[in-house]
Amino acid sequence: MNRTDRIRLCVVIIVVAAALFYVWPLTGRLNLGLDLKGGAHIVLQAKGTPESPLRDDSIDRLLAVLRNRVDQYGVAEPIIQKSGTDRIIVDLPGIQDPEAALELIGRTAQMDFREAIDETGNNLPLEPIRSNYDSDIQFVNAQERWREAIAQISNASADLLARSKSINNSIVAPAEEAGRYYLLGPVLLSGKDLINAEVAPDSLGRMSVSLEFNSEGARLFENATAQLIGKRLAIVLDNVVISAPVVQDRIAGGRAQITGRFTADEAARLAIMLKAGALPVAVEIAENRSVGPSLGADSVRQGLEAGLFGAGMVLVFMLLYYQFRGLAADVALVVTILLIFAGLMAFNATLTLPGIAGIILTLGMAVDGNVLIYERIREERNTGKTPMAALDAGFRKALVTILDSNITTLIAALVLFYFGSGSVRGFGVTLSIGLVASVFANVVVTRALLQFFIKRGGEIRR
Amino acid sequence: MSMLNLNFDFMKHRRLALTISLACVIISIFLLLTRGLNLGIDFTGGNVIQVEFDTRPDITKVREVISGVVAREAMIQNFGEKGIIIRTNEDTEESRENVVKALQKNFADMKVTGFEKVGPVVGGELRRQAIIGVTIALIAILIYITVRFQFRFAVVSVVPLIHDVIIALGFFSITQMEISSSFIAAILTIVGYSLNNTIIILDRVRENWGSLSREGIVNLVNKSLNQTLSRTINTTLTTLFPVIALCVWGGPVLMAFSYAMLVGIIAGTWSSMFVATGLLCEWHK
Repeated sequence: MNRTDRIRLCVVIIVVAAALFYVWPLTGRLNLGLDLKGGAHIVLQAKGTPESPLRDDSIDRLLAVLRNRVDQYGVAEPIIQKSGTDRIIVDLPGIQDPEAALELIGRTAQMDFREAIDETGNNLPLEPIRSNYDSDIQFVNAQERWREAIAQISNASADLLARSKSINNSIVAPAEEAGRYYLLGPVLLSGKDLINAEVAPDSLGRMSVSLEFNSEGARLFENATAQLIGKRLAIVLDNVVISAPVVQDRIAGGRAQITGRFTADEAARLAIMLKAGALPVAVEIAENRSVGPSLGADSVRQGLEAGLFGAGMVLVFMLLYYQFRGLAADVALVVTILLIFAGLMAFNATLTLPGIAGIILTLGMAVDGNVLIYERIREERNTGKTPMAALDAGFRKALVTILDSNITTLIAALVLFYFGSGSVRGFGVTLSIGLVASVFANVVVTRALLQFFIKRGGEIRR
Repeated sequence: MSMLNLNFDFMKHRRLALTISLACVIISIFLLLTRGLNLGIDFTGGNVIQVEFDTRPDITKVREVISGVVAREAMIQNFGEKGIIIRTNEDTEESRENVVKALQKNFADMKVTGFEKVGPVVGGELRRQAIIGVTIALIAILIYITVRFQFRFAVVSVVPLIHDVIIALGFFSITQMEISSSFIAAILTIVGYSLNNTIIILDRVRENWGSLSREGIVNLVNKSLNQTLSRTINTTLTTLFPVIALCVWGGPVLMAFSYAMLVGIIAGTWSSMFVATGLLCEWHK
């Protein structure tokens, strides 16, 4: 074996070992698309109305509202993102009741101001993590305390709920931070009377949020503050308390400031949420796709079955037709599959149902490189070359063809990636990764294996 | 390994092959114009509801229930073993809710397993995206081949692609299988596969190009086709295996995708062997 051949064999071993190490364990690490794991994919279109026309910051306000709602709904790993200038994509994986989610997402924001009559005292502490504790006993104790805190909070909120029954038009609403609940009095004024909310440093240079009301709002706000001096005035957006400042004084004139120990970011966030409640953005559901968990699981199973049968037929065919070289092609095919999964993980790509179909197709096309190379080698052998010389010439001549044919297919795959959306895009990604992986497997892995086999065979014969 | 020295005279019947292809394309276009395609809601906008029953009722019974709440005709099909899939062209949320409510009232064991709604704007955008995507892919491929080979090769390799796409569309017009957004993926994969085949044959033609004046274009193309024949057959087989597996075991969601691929691969293999090469011969005379 000369130097290049040895380097090639080393590269193959290193790449395969690295990919194996990277991919292991497979379960739970691969992003499955909503069509496979179930969930709701909702595209919202912001609509201007006469009261609230679309403005530059409309989408930001809408995003704030949606995050607020989805956080409260408790979906694991939701994706809420802007799409273009007037659309928002909301992906809610694994939800059991898509109808309820749609109702939650699709409605217009509702904000009002209420008296905070009472609240549950403590926030929920963070769940203890084992690595923060020296011994198991300490950790178990911390977990115990944490469970007690949860129980306390749920008792306290149940108390509030009971009291709420005896007060007319009162509600119990959670705060943004986990574990705190408020008992809220009747609505004092509604968000539509708020004209604007902005971040403004107060007279001492601290961060604060200034509010501006219309004339009706100014009157109601004056009454409210007069009643509540020394008490808390809760600002409630979509039934979540986003702020509950203590009223310092009776405020007339329709301008107020919320002060507190805000960072600039916190103040900006609060201002956006306030504006979102003041100028609700009307939305229309432009697209929604919901797949129940059972349907997704069926698709995964069927895709897997088709993949196994398809791969099985290809492996057997190559072995029967090309014998020991077919074995090398089969090893290369397994390496291709391994690299596809490593690639999907490395690019954090999402595997969709068309993506699975893309992988299955790649299985068939991946051995094309091997077929090309082997047919070339046979032609070279027919001209009377030694096995090793035929191997070298075969690889050299087939390489150009393999590159040309794969690059043209790659062009189609990249176009799919660039212009497609959703699952079609996922297909483009898997196809592209599959093409690159199969060229590597054909050209490098197969060659290293064949050289290894032929060298061994040659030495034994001699 | 066999040492076959194949020498089929493929190009002898090239005119006949080209005529057959042309006839297929014309029939497909005729079908597309008269029968049209069964476009899914991805393109037209509308609602799709997938439901499952413990014991599936007769479709006509379901149709009766739904016709009461949907103004325009709904498409209702069996789906999997226990499911039914309902498609309406009404793209409002209310329309979906009405259908679900009506079904719930009449079938106690019904469960919604999934639903989709696409508004009219999104549908129109997708249609535009699909056309732009396929056009850009074709132009990019044309440029690449012109650079790597020559312009004439680029043209004779793009014509078969259009041929394959039109025939695949014609097949969907005959069967009236529903076309969803993953169909675009299937079409572009067919384009990629067919092109792959054509490039490999043309690559061999380019390699043999030196003996053009001695052998003439027809013999040269025949020689190249024979030299690459075992590769063409083997790769077609290894690609067909997984596609057949997808058709048989891939499940109802992938059905249209799988059949599009099956037709595309057959058309693609044919067009690479006879259309691209036949055109090259005719052009070079």
